[in-house]
Amino acid sequence: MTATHEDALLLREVGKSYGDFTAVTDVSLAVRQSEIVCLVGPSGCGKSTLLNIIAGFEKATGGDVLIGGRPITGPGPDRAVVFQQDALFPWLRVFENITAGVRARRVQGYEARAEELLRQVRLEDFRRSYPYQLSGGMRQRASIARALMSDSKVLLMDEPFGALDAQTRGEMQGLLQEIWTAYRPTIVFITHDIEEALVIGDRVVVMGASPGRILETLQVDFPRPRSLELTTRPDFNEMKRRILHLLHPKIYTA
Amino acid sequence: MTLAPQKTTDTPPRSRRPVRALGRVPLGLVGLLGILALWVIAVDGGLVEEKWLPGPTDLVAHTWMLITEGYRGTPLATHVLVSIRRTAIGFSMAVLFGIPIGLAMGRYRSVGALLGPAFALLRPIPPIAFIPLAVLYLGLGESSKILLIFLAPFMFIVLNAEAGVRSVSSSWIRAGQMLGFSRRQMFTRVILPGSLPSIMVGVRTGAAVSWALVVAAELISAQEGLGYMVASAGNFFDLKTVYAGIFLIGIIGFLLDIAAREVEKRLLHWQGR
Ligand SMILES: Nc1ncnc2c1ncn2[C@@H]1O[C@H](COP(=O)(O)OP(=O)(O)O)[C@@H](O)[C@H]1O
Ligand SMILES: [Mg+2]
Repeated sequence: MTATHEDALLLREVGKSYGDFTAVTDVSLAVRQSEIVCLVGPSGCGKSTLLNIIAGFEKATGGDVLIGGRPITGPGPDRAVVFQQDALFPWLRVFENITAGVRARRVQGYEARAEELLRQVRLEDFRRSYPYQLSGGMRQRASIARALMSDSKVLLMDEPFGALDAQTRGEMQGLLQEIWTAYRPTIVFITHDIEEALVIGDRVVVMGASPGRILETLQVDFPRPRSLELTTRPDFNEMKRRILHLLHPKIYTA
Repeated sequence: MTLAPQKTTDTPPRSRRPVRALGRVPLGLVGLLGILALWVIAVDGGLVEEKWLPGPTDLVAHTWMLITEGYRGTPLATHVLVSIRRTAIGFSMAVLFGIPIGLAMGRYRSVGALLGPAFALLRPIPPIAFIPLAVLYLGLGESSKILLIFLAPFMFIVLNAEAGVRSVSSSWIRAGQMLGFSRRQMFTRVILPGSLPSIMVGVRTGAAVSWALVVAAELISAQEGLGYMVASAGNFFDLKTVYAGIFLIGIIGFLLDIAAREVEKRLLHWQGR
């Protein structure tokens, strides 16, 4: 796979082993500018490992990761992460959390963007609240705003809505699409929810376990904005069936 | 997709603090009044001889006498202030040295490995066991007492600060990394606030312990202080003074704990407890 100027993120034969155990092997993936790529797969197939490698939290034991054509050297603000359990700083107010990065890096004139993002994630009335005063969905919205504040090349999301109830999750999926429409970020989105992957993604990368690897990549061409109504369409269900077959060949192939 | 403006299941948690506080005070008051009543009955009813247990009114009068005339020529206020001063010095030193040492032990593997076993061995020794050594090395003056008052809270604070650093969530560290925090910023903006809850546990326990230890330390032939007053009065079979001293020690310790809790509440209000 060769890098083109369009690739925001490029993985080349990335692998990760813990001693004798191979968590991830031979993952190659090119993510275009403003593309949303969803990774689905059974738990333990190495989704988080892969995301942590891209984020720079963990080092790959093979292959390389390029952001905008440059190999990564460690974690940094060019790759913003939204974690599953909220990783807001509980001792900071919402506004302080969102601006923690730009303040640490001494970026000038961040206030206007922070205000805009607060409005975008509908937390303008909660800027002075502490995380404990927020609901789970509000915290994830604050996390998303904090990530967007960095103006990163890639937004990495590890099951960001996994801990939320179904209704809130639906709202968050809508909000993420609004954000994408507004800012066109490049997103790598991990989920174990196949419908979520199909509603959100431009592409769905299906991973398998033992060892963790890419089984297949599906192009998702449903027009945006997508609503949950999409999930009732026959062609949507056809894609869902294909992914289920890939993930559970024994159960679903009768 | 449009975000439905319908009612959501995702609502912020509600504070429920006031209800609890209301329910508890009267019951505690009933308990205190009950003990007072038993005390009056025991003394005035002749169940206990007065020379073994002074009655409440007697005790108040005696305390007033101690305030106005002093114990053995020293005003009660002096005894109180001397004890508070010793505690304050020993405890402040414990905070001043304990927090940085504990943080360093938690932050740097080598420091933790270097000092960890030593602290693990020192911790189970009751501080009172160091009295003879303190006296031998530092004599009977202030320094031996302050050293004793310093030691125990120091241990608590070091170990809790170390545990605090270790308890800092790795997702906060990762969040700091992805936000581009420098090592220094990581320490001041993530590790320090993240370990504060644990540090405060050490500080609060340390405050209580240091006040308790002042009595023990003042038993090393002090000439002033509440511990000295209680011990000396005991030798002279002056039970009223002993009781007055013990009550004062209790009340001051209680106030100290309230103050420590207040500091903790202010520093850790973001925990929402
Ligand atoms: N630090 C580690 N040491 C050993 N094995 C690990 C470590 N981290 C993850 N693994 C293993 O790697 C595999 C992939 O884990 P993970 O990436 O968390 O999966 P997923 O996110 O897809 O559920 C799992 O089998 C897990 O047990
Ligand atoms: Mg995972």
